[in-house]
Amino acid sequence: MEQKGSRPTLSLWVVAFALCSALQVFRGSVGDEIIFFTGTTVLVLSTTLLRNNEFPSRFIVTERHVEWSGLVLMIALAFTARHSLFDLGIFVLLAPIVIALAWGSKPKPKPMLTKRDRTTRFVWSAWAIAMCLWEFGANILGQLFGGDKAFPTISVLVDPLLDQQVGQAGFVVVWLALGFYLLKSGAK
Amino acid sequence: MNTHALTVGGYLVILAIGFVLWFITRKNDGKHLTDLSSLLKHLLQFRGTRLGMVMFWWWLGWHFLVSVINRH
Repeated sequence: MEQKGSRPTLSLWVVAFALCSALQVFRGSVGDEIIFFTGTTVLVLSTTLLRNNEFPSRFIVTERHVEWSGLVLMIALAFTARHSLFDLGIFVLLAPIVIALAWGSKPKPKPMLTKRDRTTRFVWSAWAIAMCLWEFGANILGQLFGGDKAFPTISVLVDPLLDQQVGQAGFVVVWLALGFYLLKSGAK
Repeated sequence: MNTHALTVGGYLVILAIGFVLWFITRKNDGKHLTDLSSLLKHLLQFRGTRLGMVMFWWWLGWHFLVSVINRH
């Protein structure tokens, strides 16, 4: 990696969260609207007003607490009823914890990406945008014409699988593994 | 072809492209593209990316385990 330059102040994730927030207004999903609006606010604050605030995330994440917490979460979420108050409580508690663990030290000038890395980032971003546009398109068309049988979203397709115990447990394991990877990689 | 099959087909095509892309770059020996894992490790150094990815990850769990999927 080259060792020059720095990142723009506002992350492109702000744009992504703001767009998701706008879509929730169209969907009429108040809960998701609050979540994405809060997420957009956290992202903006993290690189502007709270830019110099630090949290010892790396110290905590590199210890074994995350592994043990992940194991407890796996048992708690894989075998309890979905859409329950118990799950709601766990996720409400989890939100500030994962934000704190991802916060870390204040942003410093970072090494710039090489041309090869930039190309890879562009290709994967294009892939993710294509997936989001297809999902957004299905959601919008489903609401305007035909319903979700004619234009199913990913949620509508995946939800019946999660109604089965094996599907729910499998989702929880994959979802926790992804979160574990993000936190551990971010702490390195 | 009905719209249901077309919509599901679209998801499968995009997923397949993602799998092929991951598969051909996984050894990190290509001239033009690096592997996804190396790229993520680098991008996760940035606070904005880290927070964005972790919050989106949290929302995925919330969406499938807590929210009730609205059907219309």
